Amino acid sequence: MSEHDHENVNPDANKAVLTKESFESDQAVRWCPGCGDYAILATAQRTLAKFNVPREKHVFVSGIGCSSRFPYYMNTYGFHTIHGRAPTVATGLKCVNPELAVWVITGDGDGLSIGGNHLIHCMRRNVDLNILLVNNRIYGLTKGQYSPTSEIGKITKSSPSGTIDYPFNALCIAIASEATFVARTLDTDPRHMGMIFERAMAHKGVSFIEIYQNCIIFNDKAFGPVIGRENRDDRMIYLEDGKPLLFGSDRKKAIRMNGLRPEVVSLDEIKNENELLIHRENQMNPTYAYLLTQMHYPEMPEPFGVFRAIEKPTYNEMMDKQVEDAIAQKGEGTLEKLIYGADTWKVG
Amino acid sequence: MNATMANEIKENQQGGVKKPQKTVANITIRFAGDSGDGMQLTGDQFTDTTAVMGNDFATFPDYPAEIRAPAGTLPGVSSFQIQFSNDIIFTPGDQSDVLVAMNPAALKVNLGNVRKGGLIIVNESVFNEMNLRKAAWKSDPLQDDTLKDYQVLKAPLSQLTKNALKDHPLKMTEIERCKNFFALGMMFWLFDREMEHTLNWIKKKFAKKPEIANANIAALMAGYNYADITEVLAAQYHVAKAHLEPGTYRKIMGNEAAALGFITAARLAKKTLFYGTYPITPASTILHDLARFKNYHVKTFQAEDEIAAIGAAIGASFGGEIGMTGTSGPGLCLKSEALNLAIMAELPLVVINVQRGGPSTGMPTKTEQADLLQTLFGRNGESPIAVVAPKTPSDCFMMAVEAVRIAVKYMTPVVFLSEGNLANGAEPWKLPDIATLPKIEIRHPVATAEKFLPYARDPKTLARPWAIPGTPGLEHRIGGLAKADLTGNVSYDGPNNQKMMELRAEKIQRIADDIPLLEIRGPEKGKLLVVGWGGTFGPIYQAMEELKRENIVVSHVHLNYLNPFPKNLGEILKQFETILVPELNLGQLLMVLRHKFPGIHAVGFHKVQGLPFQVDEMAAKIKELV
Amino acid sequence: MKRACPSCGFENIAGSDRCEECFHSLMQIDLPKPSKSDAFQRAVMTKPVSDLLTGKDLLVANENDTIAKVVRVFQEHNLKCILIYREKKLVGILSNRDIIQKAARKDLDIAKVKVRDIMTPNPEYVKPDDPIAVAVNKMALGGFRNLPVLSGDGAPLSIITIKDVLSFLSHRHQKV
Repeated sequence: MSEHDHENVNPDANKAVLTKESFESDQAVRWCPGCGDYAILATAQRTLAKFNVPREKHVFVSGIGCSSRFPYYMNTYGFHTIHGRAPTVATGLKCVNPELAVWVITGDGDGLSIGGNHLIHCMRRNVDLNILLVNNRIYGLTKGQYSPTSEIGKITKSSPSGTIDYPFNALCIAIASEATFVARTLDTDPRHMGMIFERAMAHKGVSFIEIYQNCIIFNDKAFGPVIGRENRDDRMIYLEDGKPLLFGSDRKKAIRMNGLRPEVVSLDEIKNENELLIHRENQMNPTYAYLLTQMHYPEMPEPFGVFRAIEKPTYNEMMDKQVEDAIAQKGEGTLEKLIYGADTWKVG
Repeated sequence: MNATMANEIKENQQGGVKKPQKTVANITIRFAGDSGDGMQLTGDQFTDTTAVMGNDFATFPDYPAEIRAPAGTLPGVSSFQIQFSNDIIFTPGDQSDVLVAMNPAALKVNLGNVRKGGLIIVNESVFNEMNLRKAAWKSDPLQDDTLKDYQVLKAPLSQLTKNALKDHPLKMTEIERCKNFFALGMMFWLFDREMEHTLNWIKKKFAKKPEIANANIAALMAGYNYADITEVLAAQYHVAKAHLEPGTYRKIMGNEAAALGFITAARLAKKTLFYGTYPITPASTILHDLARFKNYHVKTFQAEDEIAAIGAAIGASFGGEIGMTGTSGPGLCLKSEALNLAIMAELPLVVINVQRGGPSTGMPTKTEQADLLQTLFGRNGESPIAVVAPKTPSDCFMMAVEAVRIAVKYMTPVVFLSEGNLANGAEPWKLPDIATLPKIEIRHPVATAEKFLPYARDPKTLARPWAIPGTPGLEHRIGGLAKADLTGNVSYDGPNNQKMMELRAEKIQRIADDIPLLEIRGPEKGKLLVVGWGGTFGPIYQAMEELKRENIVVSHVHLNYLNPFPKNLGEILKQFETILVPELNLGQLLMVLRHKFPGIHAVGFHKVQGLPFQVDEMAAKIKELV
Repeated sequence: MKRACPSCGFENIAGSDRCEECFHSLMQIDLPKPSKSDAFQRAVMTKPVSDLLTGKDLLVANENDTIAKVVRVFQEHNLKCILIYREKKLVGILSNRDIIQKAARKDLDIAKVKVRDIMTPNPEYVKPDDPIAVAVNKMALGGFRNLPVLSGDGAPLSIITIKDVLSFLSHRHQKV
C-alpha cells in the first residue's frame, strides 16, 4: 500500500467510517489474562480503522503459536496456516491479488525456528506485505520450551540444565535478508506500536516489525530489564529520523560513533553536535541499521522505532509487470495459438 | 552440388537401378553418440519426417548421465530411440532393430539393447585406440567377434562427410558437425523416407547461415546416396502409413502436454495460473515451459523450497486463482503437511507428481510408479484426496484439464500423478477441437442479507463456496484446525469432528458421479482382465495386440482416475476370474484394489528397475495366466 | 547470459543442452578449451602425458625394502624418486627429499628404517592419455613435484616432474 492509498479508498465500500469495533470478530479472545497479545490486537484494530481501508481488503495470515491465533479475532479475511509457512501462503496470495493488504503474523518460534528460511526469502524478495513477529523469547503455545531468541543458560521445561543455544536477533536476520522496512516496538507502548503499524502499512515493500511481547505465564518480564518502568528511560532509545539518538530521563544521553563502535555520551560532554550519531532510516547500505541491532542490554540501550526504511521494486509488482510486458509483446494468448501454434501435420 | 544430387536421388526413386524393398510392420531405431554429436537432433528430424509420412510413432530420449562429459566417454553418451509403425503403437520399442553408433562409447552403452540379427551402423572413423580405451573396450569390437550376432555396417562417417563437403567453405569443426545429417541421410534411404520436410527445415533454421544450410543438405544427400550404393545395405525397408484418426497432429512430450493442459484449463476458467515449484528431476521442464507463457496469464514462482512452493500455491488459491505446484516423489513427502492444510481448508489445488525411481533420492532420471500409496495415504489423519493419472504423453493434456476441473468444482486438492517415462516420451497428439473442450465455470459468492457461512456445502458436490478475499461482506477466517460445520469456526466438538471428516470423504467419493465410466477393451467377461494405470498403457495395449495375433484374447481396463475409482470398476472386476495388475512398484494398486473389492482374485506383475515394461514380458505374463 | 549456437547463430540461455532453434547439441561447447592464440595453453590442454614419457627404464621398490637399499639404488642409477609397489599395486612414492627430511637423523639407522615408514602413501597418479593439464593441475593442487604415470592396469610407466613439462613445452615452442 502506498502512502496515498489510505485516503479516498473505495468510498462506496464502507458507508460508515470504520472503528476499532468494526474489526472485532465474533470470537471470544482466548489468550491468557495479562497476555501482551491483547494490546497488539487492539492496536491493530485501531490502526486499521484509522486508515479506513475497507475491511475486506485486509488478510491476516498466520502460522502456529499463541500470536498466530490473531486472525480469528480480526473481522477481516484470515488464514491460519501451518507452523512456519505463513510467509509462503502470504506471498502466493499477494502475487495473485496485489490489491489486498496482506499481513503475516508470526512469533519467535514460528518465524525464526521452523519458519526461518521462509521469512528470509520473503524479505529477500521484497514482497509487499507486513510481517509482525511477536517475540516473547519462549514457546508459549506448547507450554514453555525455549526459542531461538531465548538467552543462553535459560532454564525451561526442555532445558532444565539451562539452554546451550546461542540466541540470535530477529532484526539482524531481517537486515541480513535486506528487508526494506525494519522496525521494533513493544506491547506495553500501544501509541508507539500504532505509529509503527501505520508506517508499515504505508510502506511499499516488505515491512518487518519485531514486537517485544510479554508472555505472562512462561516468560514473565523477559524484557523487564529494558522496558520496565524503572529502567526504560535509560535503557530504551526511541528512534526518530533525522534526529540524534537521545535517551535518559532528562534526554541528556546520546550515542556517538567511536570508529565502528557506538558509545554512550552525555550531552554535557560533547563539544560539537556534529559528533552525535544522527538516525537516518533511508540508507541503501544496511550497515548502519545493522549496527543499531547490535545495541543490546546490558552493554547498550536498545533502540525502538524504524531502523530502516528504503524503497525498491517489489516482487509482486515485478511479477505483474512481466505478465503485462509479455502480453504487450506477444499479444494475449489464445487457445488456438497455444494448441495449434506449433509445427503440425494433417492426417486424412 | 545440391541440384545434381537431388536429381540422382529422384532417378533412383523413379526406378533407376534400385535395390529391393521389403515391407515391415514396424521398426525401432536407436541413434546413439557422444553428447556433442547431435543424436537428439537426428532423432528429432527422423521423427518429424516419419510423422509427416503418416506412421504412428513413439520416441524416448536417453539423456547423458552427466551434465557435461569429455567427448568420447561413457557418461557422455546420448541416445534417442524411435519406434514407428503401420499400426497404432504406444511404446518406443523393446529392443532396437537398428543401432546407429557414432563412437565406441555409444556402441558399448547400447549394444545390449539391439536385437540379435539387427543392424548396427558404426562410425568407423573414430574407432581408434584412444576412443576404444575411453569406452573401456578391451579389444576392438569391429575386429573381434563381439558383433558376430549382428549385421554390421562399418562406415567411415566422419571421413565420408569430410569428403562430401570438401568443396564447402567451412571450418573442420563445422564439417564434423554435419556428420549427423550424413547418418540421417543413410536412415532416410534405408527406410525410404521423403527428405522434403527435413530439407525445408534446414533451409529455414539456417537461413542466417546459408553455408551451413548447404553443407547440411549436402551431407544429408551424401548419406542417402552412400546408403543406396553400399552393399551391406541390401534392401530398403518400407513401413506403410498407419490408420490414424483424421485430424491435425503435433508431436508432443508428456510434460509439454501437461503444461499446455494446465494453461488451457486456467484460460477456460478465465483465471490466472499460479505455479509454485522447486526444480526437481523430472518435473523441472514443466516450470521451464510454463515460464514462457506469461502472456496467457501464467505466473510462475520458483520458491526457496518444496514447502514454500506449495504454500504459495495455496495462497494463490485462497486468493481466488488457480494454485498449482509440481514436484516428484521426494518433494511430495515434503509437501504433505501443507497438502493437508489445503484439504482442511477445502481449497482448490493441483499437485503434480512426476514419479521417479525411489525411495529417497532413488534414481532421479529413471521411471517408476511407486508413489500411489503415498499420494492416497501419506498424510496425518483421515485425509482423502482426488487423484488422476495420464496414460500416454498426449493424454497428459486432457488429464491436466481434468485435474483443474475437479479441483475447482469440488474445492479440493487433486494430485496429477505422472511418471518420468511419460514426461520425456513423445508421440503424435491429435489436437482437440477447442469448441469441445470442457467448460470450467466458477461462481464466487457475493454478500447477501444472510450471514455468510464459509463451510455451507453445495448439496450435489458438497463443495464449500470459494469466497475471494477482497469481496465485501464475506470476511471469514479459515485454517487447519478442526472446524464446525457450516460456520467454519474452530471447534473441538467430538460429533462435529466426525461429521466433518465424513463429509470430506463423501465429497471426494461424489467425484465419481462426474467422471467417465470405464471402458473395457476386449470381452466384457472372461478369464483374465488386465487393470493398468499410468504408463503401463503402452506395453499392455501392444502385448494384447500381439496376443490377438496368436488368438489369445484378454480384456483390459485402464484407470485414469485413481481416487475415486470410476463407478463401474467393481462391477467389471466381478466379471473376470483373474485380475492382473501390472505396475512399476511392488504392488500398490494391487493393495488398494484388494482392499476395496474383497473377493477378487488379483495377481500383481511388478518391475522396479527404472525401466518400463517390455511388450514381450507383458505378453508372456498375460499368457501365463490364461 | 546467452551463448550463440555455432550452427545457426541463435542466442541460447547459458547451459542449454541444445539450441532452441535448430536443436543442435550444445553439450560440447561449454567444455574448457584452450585459446587459439596461446600455443602453450593449447599444448598443455590437448597433448597427452604420453608425449612427455622418455621411455627410460623405471625401477620400483618394495615397501619392505630398507632406506639404505634405496639410497644405494638412487646413487647407482642417478634417481631422485621411486615408486613403491606391493605386488601389482602402487602403494607409495619415495623421493630424496623424503629421505633427507624424515630419515637423515642421528638417531635413525637407515639400514633399519623401512620404505613404508617414510614413503608418501597412496600417491596421486595420471594415465598416459590424460592431458598434460591434468598432470600440472594435480601437481599444483597437491604441492608435489613427482607424479607417477601408470598404464590402464596399474603397471608403472614413468614418473614425470614439472621439469619434464617445461622442457616439452620449450621444445615444442622452438618448433613452432
